[in-house]
Amino acid sequence: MKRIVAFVFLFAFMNSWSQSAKTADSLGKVLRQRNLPKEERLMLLIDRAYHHQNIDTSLFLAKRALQIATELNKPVQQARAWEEIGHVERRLGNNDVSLQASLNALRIYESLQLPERQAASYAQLGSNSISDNDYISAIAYLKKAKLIYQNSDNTLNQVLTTLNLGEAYRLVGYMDSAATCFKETLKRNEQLQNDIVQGYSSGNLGMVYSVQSEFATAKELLTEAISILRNLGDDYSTSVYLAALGEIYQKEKKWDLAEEKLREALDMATTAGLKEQIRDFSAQLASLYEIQGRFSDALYYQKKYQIYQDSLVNKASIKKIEQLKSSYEIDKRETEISALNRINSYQKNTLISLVAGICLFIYLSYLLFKGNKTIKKANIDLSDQKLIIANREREKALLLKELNHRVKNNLQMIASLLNLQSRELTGHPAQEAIIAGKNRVEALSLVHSKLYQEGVETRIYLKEYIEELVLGLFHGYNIGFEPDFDIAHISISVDKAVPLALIINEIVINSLKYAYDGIKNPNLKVKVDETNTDLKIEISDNGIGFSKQEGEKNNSFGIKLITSLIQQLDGSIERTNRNGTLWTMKLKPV
Amino acid sequence: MTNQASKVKLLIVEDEILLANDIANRLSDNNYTIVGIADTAIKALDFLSKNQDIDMVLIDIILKGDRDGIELARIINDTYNIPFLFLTSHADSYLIERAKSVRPYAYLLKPFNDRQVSIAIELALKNFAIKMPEKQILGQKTFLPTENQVLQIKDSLFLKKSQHFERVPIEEILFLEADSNYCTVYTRTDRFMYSVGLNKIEAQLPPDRFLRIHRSYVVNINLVDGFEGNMLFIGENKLPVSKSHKENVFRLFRTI
Repeated sequence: MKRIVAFVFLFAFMNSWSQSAKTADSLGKVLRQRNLPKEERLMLLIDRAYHHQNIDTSLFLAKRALQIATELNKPVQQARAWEEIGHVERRLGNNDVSLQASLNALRIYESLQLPERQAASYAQLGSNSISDNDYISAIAYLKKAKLIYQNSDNTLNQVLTTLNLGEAYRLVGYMDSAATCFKETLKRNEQLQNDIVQGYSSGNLGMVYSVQSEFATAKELLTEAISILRNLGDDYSTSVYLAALGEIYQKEKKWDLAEEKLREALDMATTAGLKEQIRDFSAQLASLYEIQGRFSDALYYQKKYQIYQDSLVNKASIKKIEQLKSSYEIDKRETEISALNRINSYQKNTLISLVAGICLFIYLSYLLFKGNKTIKKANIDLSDQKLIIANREREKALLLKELNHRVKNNLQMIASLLNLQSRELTGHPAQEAIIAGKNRVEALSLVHSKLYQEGVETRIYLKEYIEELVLGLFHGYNIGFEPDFDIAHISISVDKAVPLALIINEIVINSLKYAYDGIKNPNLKVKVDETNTDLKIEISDNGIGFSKQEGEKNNSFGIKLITSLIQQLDGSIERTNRNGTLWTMKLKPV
Repeated sequence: MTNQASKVKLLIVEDEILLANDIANRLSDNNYTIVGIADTAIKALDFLSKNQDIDMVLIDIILKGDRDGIELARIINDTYNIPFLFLTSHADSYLIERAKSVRPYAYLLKPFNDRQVSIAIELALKNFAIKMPEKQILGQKTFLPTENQVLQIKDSLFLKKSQHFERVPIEEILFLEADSNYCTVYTRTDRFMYSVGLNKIEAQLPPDRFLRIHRSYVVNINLVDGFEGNMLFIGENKLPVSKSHKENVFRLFRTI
């Protein structure tokens, strides 16, 4: 019964909600496009806050809008945001905050001299004051609103404001002023023909007359209001007026009618789930039955009254809890948003570093790939070259082998030719010269056969070589005793080996040919050793001694050969007679 | 000096004729008989089929014609039971591997001298007698200890005498006589003296044909003409039978 005017106000102010929801969604979509300029964004935020069904979200959006409006220094938008905050806070039950917000809005409108908006603010403040049971303030605000609307041509707003003013008068008990207001609205509505205005005006006026005990007029007006509002499906108002009608009947002691109206009102309230009304009507019914002495019914309704009273008290506490919850939710949301912003910026940084990293990685991969390719190519070239070199090496080795083969074959051929020729000259003095030549060739050949037996070795071992050379000569001259060898394991280069071979050949042949005439235990010794300074070769026999030999004369070519060759070797040779002949050669070590 | 039968007979397979002749001369000087010189594998095989008494073949690995020395050697291995040696100037590992596969009894590397030729022949005979192919191609080779070698090859004994071998067909040996460290081999036509102990030669003789009759005598059982008392008659010779061998000896010659 008390809240009726507030309802009227809300009905006028907050129109279609389903449409609002859609609007809010589409606005949300637009808002999410981040590149909007701030001003546009601001307008959208305000609209969205206005249309949003979720109170918490609305509040958040409105606050955000306020912030942006302040930043941009847009007073109208600031005021609108304040206004919106006022609405939302009221819906949340934070009346003080709501009042403060609305006053802020009003102040801005005043300074901007926007009468229409001022009036709306006053109307809102008034309506809020009614809700807070502060009827005196409500009357003051509504009067100001009405004054402004009187100068404007917005009749509906003027009528609605007058209606609310009337209600405020009625509630504070100024029944005459209230009646004046309602009569005015009824009169004005003759032009507007608004059913709602008609319904409320007559209903409220009826209630005024009821207080003034003009029951007949009151009943008439209330019945009219009920019929109008019932058609409009306004259960709340209808049930309130029904209960008022029931109260009149009670006062007239028309118990049956009173009971009927009250029960109808209660049923309607129950169906519509209007708890406060159920409580009030139950209390009325309880007192009605009490007067009639129907105590059991009275008790039943008294209990019902009690239940609803308790539930409504609960409702208040629940509301309080909800309030706390929602403020907590908002806090949480703000924290979340700032956290999200942080994450967002962090992600942005991460993304940037990631992209940079990927670019760097790709670049490095490319470098690596390129480097690899170069290396591969170089490797291929290298292996090609290696192959060519290897082939050349093989060819070289093959050629060398072939060359060696030919050298050896030819040396053999020369030796064989000399040998064959010497046989033809048996008994001829030239035979000896030919054989000497053959021996020299064979000495050379031996160097080659020792040298080129394996690989491309250019050094030969003296021991092996000298032994074979001397043994060969012993065999050739059919010598019956064995030579002595004492040869160190020394290798020399082929350049030195050939002249040395020829020298040894000459000396040994000389001994074998001339030294052992009449010697009983002939021997021949070859000794080679190496000191730090030189290579020393000694060839000794126990023969007849050189001076007595005819050899010097006979083999003068051999001696010449020895002298020339030792010169070639940069060495020295010395012959001494000591129980035979001792040849001592000294060469530079090699 | 010695008759032809006692000489070791050689075939030379070499396409450088001058070289072949030189080798032939050198070997002849060393008391070897050169049966012939062939310059291709085909001719060599022809020679071999016509002269079954060839004791050894000297083969140059590189030959003109379709077959080289190694292929010839393979055929000789398959067909004739006689030793051969390779003559080559190559120390090429591929060729040597191929050469080794036919298991030659010696290698003679060019250029060579008399000594190397003689050593190679000896080595081949010895390796063939002990059925052991030569593994070492290079490296120093020396003569076998002189005057101390008895080799049995096929039906002959090869006895080393002053740096060459002489061949004595086993069936021609009448008896062997020991005289301190020397030993004399009597054949129908000849006699050979060696500085080898009797035991060493006896070991090379087939035991079913030769019998020890005395500390100093080993006789060819098949060639004993008769006996009288403790004396055996072989050819013109009378040999004593010692008491310790008497029983063994006369068990073979039963009196009718």
